[in-house]
Amino acid sequence: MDELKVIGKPIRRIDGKVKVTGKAVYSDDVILPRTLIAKVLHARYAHAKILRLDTQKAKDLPGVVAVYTAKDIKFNDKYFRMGATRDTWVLAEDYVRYIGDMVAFVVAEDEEIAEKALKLIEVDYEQLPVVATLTDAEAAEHLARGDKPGNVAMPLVVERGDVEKDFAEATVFVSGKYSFPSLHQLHLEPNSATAVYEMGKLTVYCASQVWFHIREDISAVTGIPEKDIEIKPMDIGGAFGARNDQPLPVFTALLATMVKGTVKMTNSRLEEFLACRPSLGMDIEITMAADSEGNFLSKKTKLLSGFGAYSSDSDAVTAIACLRADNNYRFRSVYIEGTGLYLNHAPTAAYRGFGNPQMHFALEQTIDKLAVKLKMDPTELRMKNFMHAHETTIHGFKPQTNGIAECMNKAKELMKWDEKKKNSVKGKGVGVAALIHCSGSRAGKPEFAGSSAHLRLEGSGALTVLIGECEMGQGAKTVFAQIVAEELGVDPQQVNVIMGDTALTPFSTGTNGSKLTINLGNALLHACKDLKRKLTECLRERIGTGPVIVKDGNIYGEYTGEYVMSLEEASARACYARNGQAFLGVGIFEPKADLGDRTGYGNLAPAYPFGIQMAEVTVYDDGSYTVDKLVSVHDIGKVINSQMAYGQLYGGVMQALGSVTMENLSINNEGIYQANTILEYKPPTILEMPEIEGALVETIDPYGPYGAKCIAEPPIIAIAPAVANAIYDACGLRFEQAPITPALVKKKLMQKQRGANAEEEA
Amino acid sequence: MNVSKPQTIDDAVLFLTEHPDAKIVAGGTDLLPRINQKLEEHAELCYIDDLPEMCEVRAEQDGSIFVGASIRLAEVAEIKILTKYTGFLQAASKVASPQIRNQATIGGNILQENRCMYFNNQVPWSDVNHCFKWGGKQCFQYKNSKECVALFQSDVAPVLISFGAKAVIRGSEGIREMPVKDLYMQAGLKNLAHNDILLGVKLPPLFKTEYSAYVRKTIRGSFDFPLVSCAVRVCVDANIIKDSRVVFGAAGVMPAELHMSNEVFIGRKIEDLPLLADELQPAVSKIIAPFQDTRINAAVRKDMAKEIFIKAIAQICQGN
Amino acid sequence: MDKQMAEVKIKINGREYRDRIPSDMMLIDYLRKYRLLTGTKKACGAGECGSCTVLLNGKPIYSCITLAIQASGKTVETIEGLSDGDELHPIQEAYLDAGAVQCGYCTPGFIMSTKALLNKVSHPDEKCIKEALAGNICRCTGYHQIIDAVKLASEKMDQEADINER
Ligand SMILES: Cc1cc2nc3c(=O)[nH]c(=O)nc-3n(C[C@H](O)[C@H](O)[C@H](O)COP(=O)(O)OP(=O)(O)OC[C@H]3O[C@@H](n4cnc5c(N)ncnc54)[C@H](O)[C@@H]3O)c2cc1C
Ligand code: FES
Ligand code: FES
Repeated sequence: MDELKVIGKPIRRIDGKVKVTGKAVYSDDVILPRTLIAKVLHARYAHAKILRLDTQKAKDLPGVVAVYTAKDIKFNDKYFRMGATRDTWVLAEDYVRYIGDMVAFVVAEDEEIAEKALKLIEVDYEQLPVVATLTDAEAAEHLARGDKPGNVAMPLVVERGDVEKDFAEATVFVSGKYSFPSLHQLHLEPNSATAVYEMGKLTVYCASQVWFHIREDISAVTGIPEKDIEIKPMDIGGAFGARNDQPLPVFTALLATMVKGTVKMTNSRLEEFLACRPSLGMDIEITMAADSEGNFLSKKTKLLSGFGAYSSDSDAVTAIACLRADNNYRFRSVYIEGTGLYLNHAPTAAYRGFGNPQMHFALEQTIDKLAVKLKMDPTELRMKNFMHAHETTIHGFKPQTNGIAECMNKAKELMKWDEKKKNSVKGKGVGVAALIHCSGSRAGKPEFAGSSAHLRLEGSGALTVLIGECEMGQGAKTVFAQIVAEELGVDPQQVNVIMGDTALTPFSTGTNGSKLTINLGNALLHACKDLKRKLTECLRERIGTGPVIVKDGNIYGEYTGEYVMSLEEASARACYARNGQAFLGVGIFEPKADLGDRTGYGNLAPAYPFGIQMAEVTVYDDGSYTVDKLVSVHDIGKVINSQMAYGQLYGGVMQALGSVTMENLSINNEGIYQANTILEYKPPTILEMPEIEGALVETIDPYGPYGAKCIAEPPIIAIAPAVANAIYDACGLRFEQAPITPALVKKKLMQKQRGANAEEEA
Repeated sequence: MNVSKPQTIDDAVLFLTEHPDAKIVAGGTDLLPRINQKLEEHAELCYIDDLPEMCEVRAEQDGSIFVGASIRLAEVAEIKILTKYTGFLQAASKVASPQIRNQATIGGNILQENRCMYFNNQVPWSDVNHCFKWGGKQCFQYKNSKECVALFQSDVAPVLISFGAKAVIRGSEGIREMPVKDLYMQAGLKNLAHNDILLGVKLPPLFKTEYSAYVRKTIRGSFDFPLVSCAVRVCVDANIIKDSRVVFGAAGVMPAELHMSNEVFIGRKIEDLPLLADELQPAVSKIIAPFQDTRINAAVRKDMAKEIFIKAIAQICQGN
Repeated sequence: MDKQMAEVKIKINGREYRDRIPSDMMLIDYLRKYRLLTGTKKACGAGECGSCTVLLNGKPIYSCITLAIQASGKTVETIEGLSDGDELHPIQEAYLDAGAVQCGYCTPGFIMSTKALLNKVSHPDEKCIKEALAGNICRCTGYHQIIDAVKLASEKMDQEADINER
């Protein structure tokens, strides 16, 4: 390969200028004429039967255009295409099942009238028992939903190898009972959408990770065929998985259709907390079996995950939580029992890491316990058991590259691990955790695994990438511009990238599974090649240039190497020679990845990122603790843009830090989210930022574009267990429950000091 | 909601007298978030910021210092004659966030509403957790309580009390003064008439040698209200403690004073302060109301109070 | 009952505006809905995140919990006032150069806080930067590159000052 000119460089983000000048247009910035405002009436209780619902007074309020309840909505049961169980509604029919559940819509001339109208809607409820915790859901004394026996949404039992035999052979056992709460993704931009209905056609301005799924959902609830719906992509103020399932744009479109006009709806922050899709809280029990040398033999896992009241992406998240983390290690056998449970909470779904952080929190702490028991250094114990490239993992992954050993060495160096282990200081501790994820895992459509990209060259010389996924801040647009720039030799800032206009771009299954760089990157590489081939063919055959190639933004003789003309001139001439026709490079990437069999076995992704994360903490006598330093080293394949890769790294690490130290929705027994404001939820501020050292290990993956894999999700995955392990190292107390608040540490430390419960830990 | 902006103090008092349901708004950083979050509703607001009488800081003849109620928290650090009121400066510099401190007033701070997760994290469309403060019939903190026990979490009030500051109030009858500590009543009520306007606070002159410190405990480094806080002031003459005051914030419905401190401290040497403070720890525990929020429980709050009390004492000793 | 209206006279980004608005309108809604300055963002509406930060008489405040009439007679600077349409302000350049922007929703608020800081302290150290930006939340960047950006902006503004002096 020639030396790379643009790939690997810290190119400025191409969508940056509009963002630093305030000119970027996010969904709520859309201001259209004749816009009506819609609002939702939410449930008064987390679980209740609707006895009476009367909207007359609201309808009579001047300025109110319409008030709708479930019975007004023809396709009320058609919302959400992805939940495998298809059991969710647009508006609640006879029952409400979580506090953000939706009971009625109001469309009015302005926001104030809409708010007033909400208060005039009369609802009588009969309160029903609330199922608020996983323990209660499992016990099933009460049902979160009368129609779901045992509260069970999804059972998953997987056994690979012979667990009983391996347990019988093992000599060392460790176990733990962990719990990781439901978290709020907290992208800063609240959901907002504006939908325009006009003569049977819909245009919807919104933010989403899944433009085409949104279109499907809209089609399903409105009955308007997909071809008559256009989703206009707005700038996106963060997503982190939360924009994989968004009721708001779908319902806005539905309301526009019903009132035959333009409707806008914007969530309040409270609605973001209560009526969107937080992550799955999980209770996880693990028992690990090893031999006396520290070779992992087998493992039994029991996992309960909270689906909330309806299913969303929760089944996929649960499956990933059950299986993915195992693939990092050489287990002979594993047994997993995963149960998704209905709760009277908001339906739960994706959050960066897709279930993987929850399981890593449990598994990586259990491994640490084994190291303590065997008196081995936890880094060595892990190194001993890691899988290698080209091996097939226990659940069928076939990574072609695996840089985890290099990551470990680099992380140890950055943390000064050996030194710190040798000279341990009272109150200080270090902890390590390893991670594995998928790069481009299959999501969305069972029919196909791949992705498509278009690259258009117009007579003006304008180059436009057309891709059906989204830019949500992760920097995808810039990566794609870099690929085009590299292939054609143009300035990346000159490449236009359109992501997600459903009228313009190829179909896509959505922006998830850390797939953009690898899948779309590959597709775009093909599109570049295709475009170059079409252009040079035209130049040769219609302009008579002889054999030519595209290089450095110009056309050169293929054999002579001589300059022929600029790319701009070539595009104009070739375009005119083709009667104005632009060139369209088409690229398809079909990864060597399968869907997995019924037990989840299979090579799910074209490539796999690995990483090591470490934490250093100080625990003080009074029970407070500080996270002093975090190290995050990732094998991400070839680095396409170092600035953006590090941006993902720092961002993910800080989100993870928030989750292990502070963040909590604090859902009470009434199903009320006690932390339903940013103030109370407590995302980290800049003052919580410890020293963070990141490093990237570049393996060159044969399936990645230029060898690239991914970086979006990995940094959030193993910080939490690394911090927990560091706290154990510092004070000998093990925290199996996140978040590990200073108050919790204080409580345990005081118990320990008083000598009480000292043994309970072991 | 209507907002009126009287041009003079007299107009403001008159306006309030004529509008019994009007609520005063100054910086607005306490009141307006609750209105935006639909936790409360008002038909009328009376915006009283920028009135000259309330924007002043001046040394009075008796050596005390008048600080206008409209002085912004961020301004406190810039006022020369306040530099020796260390605890006051510390408290004002720690409230909320830089943006809030630029907007928030001293007056609003010490008259802020009490807080409780059942009220401040109420779901307005639900009637679960409808506590006294919301107009409901029970308290979720103390199931048997007959009134609201929400926490008063002002950072500034405890220090002002530790300095023995007075509130200067303009009511329909003219101007009057009362100790800041007397502003606070049960159930989070303030000892003010509806048409009383706080003009400012008066800090008594400093003792010859005096030390003060304010320490607070929060989850995050910014934004967060104190979980519990402690203001300590010690007056010394020739190394002997002559007077002291220890006041805890976020300790209950109002700031809680550790009255025993003088019994233990007065007449003793300042070097002995840490030892003496240790003696007081059990008493600290007692005055902190058992109060639960999403992150800490009653026991931990009490322990934290002891911890920050010791820290504040340590600061005093360092300043010595 | 009709809403009480109020006159406001506010100098925004150097131009004075007089408007009759509902007396209870928040500054952010006035900026976004009346002046169509949509660069100022709302994420919480309760003073808990900093997305809506603007400068009021040069000091950063949250426009979501400030009444428009509180700003009357004062000057307001918003993100739209920073660049002249062709050239970016050095702070904006620095944010791009340092990779301090991801989704960009928090960015206008951060840039306004940065501007207020650098107006006051031309060479802030890391601690000072953190204190000044402690009222802004960013969920994407993890803050690391934002701190780099502020340092870089301070250098860039120096250079610019140098050039202007010459
Ligand atoms: C995210 C966030 C975090 C916060 N953190 C803290 C914190 O850590 N510590 C803390 O102490 N506070 C905190 N606050 C609360 C608040 O910002 C401060 O208390 C602030 O000082 C209030 O001042 P203000 O002028 O903005 O009050 P306003 O909201 O204007 O007024 C508060 C109350 O006082 C009354 N009032 C105001 N001025 C007068 C007067 N002159 N006469 C009579 N009545 C008057 C008002 O009617 C109102 O009831 C926080 C607020 C937010 C939004
Ligand atoms: S929107 Fe104003 S502080 Fe969050
Ligand atoms: S860049 Fe997305 S919140 Fe800061």
